[in-house]
Amino acid sequence: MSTALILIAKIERAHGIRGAVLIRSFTQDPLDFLSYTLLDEHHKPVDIEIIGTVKDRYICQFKGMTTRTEAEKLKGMNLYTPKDELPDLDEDEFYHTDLIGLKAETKEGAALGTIEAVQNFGAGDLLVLKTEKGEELIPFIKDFVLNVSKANGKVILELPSWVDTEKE
Amino acid sequence: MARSIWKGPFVDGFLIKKAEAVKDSGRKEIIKTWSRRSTIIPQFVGVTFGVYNGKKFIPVYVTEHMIGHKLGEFSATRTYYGHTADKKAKRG
Repeated sequence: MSTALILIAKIERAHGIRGAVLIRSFTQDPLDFLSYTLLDEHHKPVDIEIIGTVKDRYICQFKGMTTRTEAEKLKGMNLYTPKDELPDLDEDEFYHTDLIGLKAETKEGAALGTIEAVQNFGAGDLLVLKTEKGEELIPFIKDFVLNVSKANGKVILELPSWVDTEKE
Repeated sequence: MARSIWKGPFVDGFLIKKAEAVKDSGRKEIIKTWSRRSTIIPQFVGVTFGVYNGKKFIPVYVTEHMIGHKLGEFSATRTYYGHTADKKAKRG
């Protein structure tokens, strides 16, 4: 298969004696994982339906699976979806998976580092920039992130200057 | 018990001064602060604070819907890197 795959959910363990499994979803809205085509680790489509929930996990039944022994063999299996199945984005919206790995540069073209992750603690998204000196968090706003070019694999940043309050 | 209304919201004074100075200057600065206890007031909207989480300063860009919350609420002290899956980020 040529298209890239995205990890969308994981089978944690068997549940009950009738071949059900407990699935942990990684999608933004946990229930969304069922709206995508699910592929197993061998890129084969899987057919499942939700039959219940346990806390934030979903009890799912694989089509044709009736025994716990069969279900136990699936423990730890990852479920993927083709990347091109993800919905289109609005302007200035990016998938985390597209941002991670981009090279960061200044306006003048000087290399800064690589985007390692995207975090959000409730006050907007933050790019985790891995530099030679360590890790830096950059707010994902137009003041500091001037341009994101997925085609060129780079992001243009204006590093913020920090001011101290308590030293005055 | 909730804080008495007659006292008003608690904000460290130096934070108000600094936020107003940064806003007036128009510079793209992040105000470093250890004051996680300060309430976010309307004067802070549009300012970015670097709120200390015990290890590093987490940038907090203040928007209208954050008014009334404390700065510390937006600077988590524990970090969890989950799977990306279909998660999106919007450039504000």
